[in-house]
Parts: sequence; C-alpha cells; structure tokens
Amino acid sequence: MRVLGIETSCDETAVAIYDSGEGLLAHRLFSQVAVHAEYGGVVPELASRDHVRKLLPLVKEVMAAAHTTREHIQGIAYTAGPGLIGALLVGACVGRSLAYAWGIPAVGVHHMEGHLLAPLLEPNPPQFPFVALLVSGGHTQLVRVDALGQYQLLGESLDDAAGEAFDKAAKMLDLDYPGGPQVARLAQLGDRQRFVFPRPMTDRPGLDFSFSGLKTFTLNTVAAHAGANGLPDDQTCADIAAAFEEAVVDTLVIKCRRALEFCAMKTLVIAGGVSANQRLREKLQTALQKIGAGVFYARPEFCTDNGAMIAYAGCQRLLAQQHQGLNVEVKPRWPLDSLPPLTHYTRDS
Amino acid sequence: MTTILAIDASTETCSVAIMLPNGMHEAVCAEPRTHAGRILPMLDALLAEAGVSLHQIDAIAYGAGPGSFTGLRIALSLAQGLAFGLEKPLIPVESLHAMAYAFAQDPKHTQDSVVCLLDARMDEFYLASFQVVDALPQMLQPAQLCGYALFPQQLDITIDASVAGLGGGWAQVDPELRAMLGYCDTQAVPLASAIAQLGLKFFDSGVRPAAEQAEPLYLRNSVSWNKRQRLRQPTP
Repeated sequence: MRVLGIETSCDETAVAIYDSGEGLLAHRLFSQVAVHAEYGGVVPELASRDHVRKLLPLVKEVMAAAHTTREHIQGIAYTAGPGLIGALLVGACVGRSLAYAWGIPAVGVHHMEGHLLAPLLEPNPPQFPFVALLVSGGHTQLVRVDALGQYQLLGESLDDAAGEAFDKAAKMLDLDYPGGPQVARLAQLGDRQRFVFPRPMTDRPGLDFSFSGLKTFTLNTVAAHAGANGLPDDQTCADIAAAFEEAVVDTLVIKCRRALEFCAMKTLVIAGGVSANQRLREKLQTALQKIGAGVFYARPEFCTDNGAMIAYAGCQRLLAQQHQGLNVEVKPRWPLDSLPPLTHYTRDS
Repeated sequence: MTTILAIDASTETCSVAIMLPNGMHEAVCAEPRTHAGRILPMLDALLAEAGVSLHQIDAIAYGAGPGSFTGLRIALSLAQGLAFGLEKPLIPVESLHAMAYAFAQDPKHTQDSVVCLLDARMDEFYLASFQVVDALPQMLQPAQLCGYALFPQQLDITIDASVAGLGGGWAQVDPELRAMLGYCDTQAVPLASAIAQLGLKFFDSGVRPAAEQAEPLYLRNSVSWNKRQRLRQPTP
C-alpha cells in the first residue's frame, strides 16, 4: 500500500510517500523556523498561514520525487493531533478532501505515534516490546510499547516539556529559537561541573517529570551572574548551558533506566526533537550498557517533525482498515493510550 | 454547461453549494466551531441530492474572506484538496461581495447601495460598500478594516434610506444610525450559493487559478504579534 503522509501540527510543513512494499519513497519539509525566530517562539496564526502556502507545492514536489502519480496513491494520512488546532486543520482538511477527490481512504494519525514509530523506518529497527521516551517541545512521556498500536503511558511531565525547558533556557541566555540545538552548542564550550542544577523528581519513585523548577533555577543563576546588559559573561553563559543540559539529560536518563527496569525490558526507543540531543544519546548509551539494554533512535531529520513518520504510521492504520469518515476531526489534546489497537502489522508486505 | 462547487466558512455559518446549469443545491449549517466536521459530509449529501459526481464539477469557488481566520483556512484547505485532486481551477470570491450579490439579486430589494459590515473583533469591522446596478453589486469601497470608533466616518457614502446594511457588524452600530438605513439585516452572512454564482461569472470571464495559488484574504496581516526583545547586540 502506498500512502501520502501530511504533517502540519506545529511549525514544519512536511509531506512524504511511504510504500509498505518498497519503503519510504520520498520526503520533503518546509521549515518555518525563520518565520518564528524573530518572535522567540511559534506564533500559531503565522504557522497556520504558512502551512496554507506551502502544503500543496510540497505535495507536488514529493509526488514528483517519488515518481508517483495519483493513480498509485492508495491512502492519505495526516496528523490529526495533538498540536496547534489551526495548524492541524490545514493538513487535515487538505488531506481529507484530497482523499475524497481521489476516492481513496484517509486516516488521522496521532503525532506522537508517528514519532514513536519513526525508528522503525531505519535499516536496523527495534523489536517489540520496548519502552519509548517521547521527548520534544510539546511532550515528555515514557510509554510502554508491547506491540504496534499497544501503548501504555508510564509517566509524563507534570508541567513543561523538556524541549520547552530548552527553549526557555535559550531565551534566558539570549540564544536563538529553537533553543535546543543552541543550548547544546553553547554547552560544549561550558564547564559541566561549575554549576550543579537539580535533577527534578529523581529522588522519589515514579516515572513522571517536572522541568519548571529547573527553569526557575536557571533564571536565578542567570540573574545572580548578570552584568549590565542583563546577561552573565560568555563563559558563564556556556557554563550555565552545560549545567542545564546535564540536569535535563541526567533526569531523562535516570527515568528511562527506571522505566526499563519497571517493565523488565531491554530496549529503549527515543523519539521527538530532543532525542537528537547528542549528550542525551551518549549518556543513555553508557547508562543502558550497564544494564545490558540498547537504545534506538531515528536519523536526525526524523527526530524532529516530519512527514515520513506520519505516512508510515498512517499506512499501518490504513492496512488495519482504520479510516476516517468525511468529517474532518482534529484533536489538540489526544492521549496516546486512547488509540485503537492495531491488529495488522507488516513491515514488508 | 458549467457546474460549480462552492464552499464558505468565513463566519459562524458554513455552507456548501452545487450550481448546475438547471438549478442550485445548497446546504447551510449555522453551528459554530463544527465546520471542519460538517463540510465534506454536506457536500457528499448534496452530490447525491443533485445526482452528480465530483468529476462533473468544472470549478471550485471558495469564500476567500475577510472573515474568521480559521474558518477561511478550513474552507480553503478543503477546497484546495478537492481542486488539486480533481485538477480543477480554484476561484476566490470575497465574502462581503457574496453578501452584496445575494442582496442585489433579490428583486424585492430597492436600495441603491449596500454596506456590508462583519465584526472583525479587536474593536474593528470588516467593511465594504457596493452600488447596485442592474441587480449586480459594483464595488465602491473594497473590503477593509475599520475601527469601531471610525465608523461611519471611514465610509465613503452617506447613510440614508437608499442604503442597505448587511451583516452582524450592524448589530454593534449605534441604533440611531442603523434606523436611518432603508434596509438592515444583521443576520446576513456570506453563503455558498452566492459564491457559486460569482464564481461562475469569474470562471466564464477566464479566471482559472491553480489550487496551490490560492490564499485567504485576511486583511489583518500585522496583528500585534510581539516581537522578541534581544539583550545582546545583533552580530552583523
């Protein structure tokens, strides 16, 4: 089955074509980062407007790149949530009506299921069951994955997502948006020992996270060393970035390890924008080796939002005969464990 | 003979119309915040009622705005998917023009001019005015934003009994001013049937935009989205 996937849940317009027999045929993305950078974060109205401009040209481009005409496309998948409602509506409305015009089925995909399954697009995919850490600007969740479509939430952030904390720390240090890669780059120049930031909620049982206290701690540290322009000197900024990154990474590593032990599993999958963080990957590798477990992740461009993961997850749901009616539905909030199970699963057929 | 499909969701009312050479089929839903869920099912039922298939449609017209930003994008995105999928032109029709057109076409109406006024929130109206000539609206003042406080000064025409007022914006206007109108309908909204008729006129005059060229008429392009204040001097 050949599926066109559309992703417009936040600030990237992305389209891909996945074929259950031939694999991923093409994927393209328009990043809106430049649109939002001068505002210091995503402006939902501007994001929605840009999706309208970019989506159809991108669909045409991907179809050409995949050497695919409309007759070959057997289903359309679009992100139906969670995300920004106005942004979701653009992809969902175009995707659903295009499927109607072509007389093929459509399905609304859960954005985080897309992220969670993205590592399955890699040449050496993880085997079920596994524990997944979904960590991005919008989510920090630990999920038990027994099979495709069988998800159980183990823990999540009670306040800010880890990626959101990175963005806010970047803002405090006057770094560009999006903040994650900027903080990570600056942290490489910093002394990771000079400041010690708390590892929130690691000293008590459970698998939930909290990053808002870390944000306050960062703000206070910046304020305590600030010069006339409101910022510490460059080296201190780097040291703060390093301390912040260490604290977030350590917290995530401790909880991942705890989740694997809790589930008695040996495989961890990390997905979402923050899963591209190099320090997180290194520290997870080291920590999991000690308990004989392995960590899997997607290639960098499939860690952040992309169309490939939506085409892939949508293809699995369409193969299981799960279709969306003509009524376009988007869900800004949508618990992952409320998804229907998937009885059908093939990687190659 | 030409068949036109039209979609509008620019206000709290959404509508779909199929205009055949021998008649109009229209469905209207006045329930706000349900438009995305309603429009394709309404279209599917209309096609069955009209006894035509999607592939018999020659062009798609959409309510381009001004209006609710989200509503404009719902109508446009649905229309884009259809137009791109069916390889048909996608024709923008301004929402206030459609309101004036429906008014002017009704032989009961005798007023010479029409002032359309929709609430744009943030203490502003969307405003446009038209002169009625041979049962057709001719634009006097193109669609624009008008602060509550600047109405009616911003209007180029004088309000009297020769003027019709259309749209929910009029409900917020000083009742004494409203009473000077020769006709007032604060319930009037843009409807797909009028959009289909105007769409056909544009289509017949050779307007054939491709689906990916379409963009809503937002009018408000610089809403006070606060830009970020930087601490460091920007590096050149």
